Amino acid sequence: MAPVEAHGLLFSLVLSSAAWFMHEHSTMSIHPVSQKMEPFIRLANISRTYAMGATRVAALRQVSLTIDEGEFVAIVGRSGSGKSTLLHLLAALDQPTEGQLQVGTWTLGTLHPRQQARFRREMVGMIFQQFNLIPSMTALENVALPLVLAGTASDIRKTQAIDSLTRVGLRERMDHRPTELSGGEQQRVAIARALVSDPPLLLADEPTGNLDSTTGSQIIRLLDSIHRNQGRTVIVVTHHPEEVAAFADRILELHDGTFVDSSR
Amino acid sequence: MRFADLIQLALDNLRRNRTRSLLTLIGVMIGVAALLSLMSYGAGVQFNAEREFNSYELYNSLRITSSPSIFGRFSDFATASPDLESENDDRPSVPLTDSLIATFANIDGVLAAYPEVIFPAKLKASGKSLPVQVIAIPMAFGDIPAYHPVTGNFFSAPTDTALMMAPSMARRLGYEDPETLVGQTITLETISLHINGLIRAAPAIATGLTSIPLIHHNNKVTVAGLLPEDDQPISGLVRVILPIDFAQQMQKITFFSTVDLMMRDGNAKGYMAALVQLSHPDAFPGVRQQLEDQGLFVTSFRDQFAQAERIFLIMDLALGVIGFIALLVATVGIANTMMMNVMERTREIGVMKAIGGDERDLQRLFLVESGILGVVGGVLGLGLGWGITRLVQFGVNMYLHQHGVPNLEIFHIPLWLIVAILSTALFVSLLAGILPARRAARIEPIAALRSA
Ligand SMILES: Nc1ncnc2c1ncn2[C@@H]1O[C@H](COP(=O)(O)OP(=O)(O)OP(=O)(O)O)[C@@H](O)[C@H]1O
Ligand SMILES: [Mg+2]
Repeated sequence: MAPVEAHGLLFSLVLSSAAWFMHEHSTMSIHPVSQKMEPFIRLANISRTYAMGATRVAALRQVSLTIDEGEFVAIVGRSGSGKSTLLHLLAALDQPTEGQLQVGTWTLGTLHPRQQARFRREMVGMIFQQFNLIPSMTALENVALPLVLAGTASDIRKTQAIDSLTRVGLRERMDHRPTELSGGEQQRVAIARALVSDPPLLLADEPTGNLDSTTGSQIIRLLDSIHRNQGRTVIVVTHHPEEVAAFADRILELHDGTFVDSSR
Repeated sequence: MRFADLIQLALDNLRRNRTRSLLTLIGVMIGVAALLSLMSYGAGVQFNAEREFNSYELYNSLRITSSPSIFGRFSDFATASPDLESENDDRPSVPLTDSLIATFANIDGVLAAYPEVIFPAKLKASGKSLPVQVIAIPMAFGDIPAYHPVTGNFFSAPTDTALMMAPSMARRLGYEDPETLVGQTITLETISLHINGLIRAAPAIATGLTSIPLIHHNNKVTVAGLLPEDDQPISGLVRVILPIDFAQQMQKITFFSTVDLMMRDGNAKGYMAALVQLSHPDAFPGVRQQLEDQGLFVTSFRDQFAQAERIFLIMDLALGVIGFIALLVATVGIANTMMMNVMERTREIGVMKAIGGDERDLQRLFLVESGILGVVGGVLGLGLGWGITRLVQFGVNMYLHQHGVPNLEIFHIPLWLIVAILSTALFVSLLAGILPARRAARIEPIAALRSA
C-alpha cells in the first residue's frame, strides 16, 4: 500500500469519524436538526375578540406568526394593541376566538383546562410586570411553587429552587419575603420561578415596566443570558424597543391587533 | 400536587389570617362542644338506665296482671296491634291469689314468683326521716348480684323483720359511716286507711275528699345489710328492700297515686300484680305462653325497656338536632371565612394557575383549608365540650355529695360519639368548603392577573 494511499485512507477515516461524532452530537442535543425545520411556535390567522354586550372588541385580528426554537423575540406596540393578549394565548391562559395555535407538539385552543395547566407546567415560564410573587412566601418558596404544583418531591424541589435562585444571583436572599426585596430583586426571583421547571418557552409581559431603566436593562440582560446560555425561546413584551434592540433576534410591532412590521 | 404539600400550603394560608381563622375555629369549637355535651348527656341518661336495668336483671323479670296493664297497652299502641283488649274483654279476669302465684314457680325456667309488693313509706332514724319506696323481694333474689349486700347479710328468712338499703341512704339518714347502721334497728313508717275515720268522713267523699283519715304505723326493722350502689346509683336514692313475707303482712296502702286505683278493675280480687323472675332470658316465650294460656296478662320489662329505648332515641335525636344546629351555624362561619379567603387571594390564585396549578389542585387546596378548620375546631371543641361536661359533673357531684348521694355520671362519652362528632365536623366543614373551592377553581387567571 502506497503511503499516499494510506494517508488518504487515514484521512477519510478521520473525516468519517468526525462526521459520526457530529451526527451523534447533534442528535444528543435537545434540539434535533430534523425538528429545526418545523417552527417551534406557529400562529395561523389567530383572532381574539371580546364581546362587550353589543359591541365587539377585537384584541387580535387574523395574526399569523412563526417563531423558531431558541429565538429571542420582542413584541412592542401601543397600549391596548393586544400584546398581553398574544402572550396569554401562547401561555394557554386564554383561548383564541379563531385560528390555529401550535407550541411544540401542543395544539392549543382545544385543550381541556387540566391539560392547559399541564402545558403551562411543562412548557412555559411566565414573568409579569407586577412580579406576582406570593407575599406570604419566602423567595425560595416562591421559586419552588411551580414544582410543588407539579408534585415534585420536596428534596428535589429544594435543590432545583436553590439552583434557579443561584442562576439569577439571589441565593443569599432565599429566605427573604417579597416585601424585603427591591423591585429588581423581586423580578429576578420571578425569573427564577419561571426557570425552575426548565421550560423551553419563557414569556415576559413588560418585565421592566415597574423598574427604573438601569434595573430594567439588568433584567433584560439576564433574560438575554438565559436565552443564550440555555437555548430557550424567549418572548418579551416591552414598551421600550431600544431596551431590547441589542439582544432581540426580531422585534415585532403590534398595532390594533395586527403586526405592522417584522424588522430583522 | 402532593397531599402533604396541600396540607402544608393550607396550614400556611390559614396562619396568614390568624385572627379570622381563630374566630372561625372558636365558632366550630362552640358548635362541637354543644353537640358533645348534649349528646353525651343523652348517652349518659341511657347508659345509667341500662346499667340499672341490667344490674337488677330486669331483662329476666315479668309482670303478671289479671287485666291488661297500662304498660301493656302502651306497648300495643307502639307496636300497632291493639287486639288484646277486644279479644279478652269478655273473659272474666283471673284473680292473682297466693295459691295461683305459688304455681308459677313450678313453670320451667322460673326462678321465683311472688306478689308485687311496692309501697311508699318513711324511713326514720336518729331524728331524720326520708321518703322511700319499699320493694319486696323473694329469697331467691339472694342469687342476683345487685342484692348481695356489701356490708351485712342477705335476709335469712322471708319473714325477717329486716331491710336493706344503699349506703347513700344511710348517709342521708345521718350515718356518716354507713356500716355502723348494719345490725341496728330503725323505724319504717307506713300508713293505712283509718276505716272508722273514713266512715265519719263519708259525706265528704261525694263532694271531694280534702284530707284522708290515715293511721301511721311505726314498724321496727333491723338493717340487715347495705346494697352495692356502683351500678345502681339512682334507684339507691329511694329504694328500701324488704323480704316478701314481712312486707306483705305490714299494714300499708299499696298504691302510689289515684292513677293506680283508676287503672284497677274495681271487681278484681287478689293482688294487683305478680312478678316472675326467670332463671334465663331464653325461658321468656315458654313462660309467657303458659301464663297467657291461664288468661293472665304478661308484660316483660324488656319490652318496656325497649319502649324506653325508643324514647331515649327520640331524646337523643332532639338533643342531637339542637347540637347539630349549633355546629351548622359554625359551618356557615367556615363557609364565610373561606369565601373571604378566596376573594382576598384572587390574584394569587391567578398566579398559581399561570405557573401551572390546575383547577383540581386549587379546589382541593380550599377544601383542605376548610377541612382543617373543621377538624382542628372539632378536636378543640371536643376538648372544650369534655371540659364543660367535667365542670358540670363536678358541680352536680358536689351538690349530690352534700346530700349524701353517690356520684352520678350524668355524661357518658363513648368512643363512637367522639368518632361521630369528629366525622360530622369534618363532613360539614368540607361541605362548607365546596362553594368557595369551586369559586377558586373557576377564577379566570387572566382576569385575576389584570386585577391590580
Ligand atoms: N376581558 C376583556 N374584555 C374586553 N376587552 C378586553 C379584555 N381584555 C382585553 N381587552 C381589550 O383588548 C385589547 C388588547 O388588550 P391587551 O391587554 O392585550 O393590550 P396590551 O397591548 O397588553 O396593552 P398594555 O400595553 O396597556 O398592557 C384592549 O383594547 C383591551 O381593552
Ligand atoms: Mg399588557
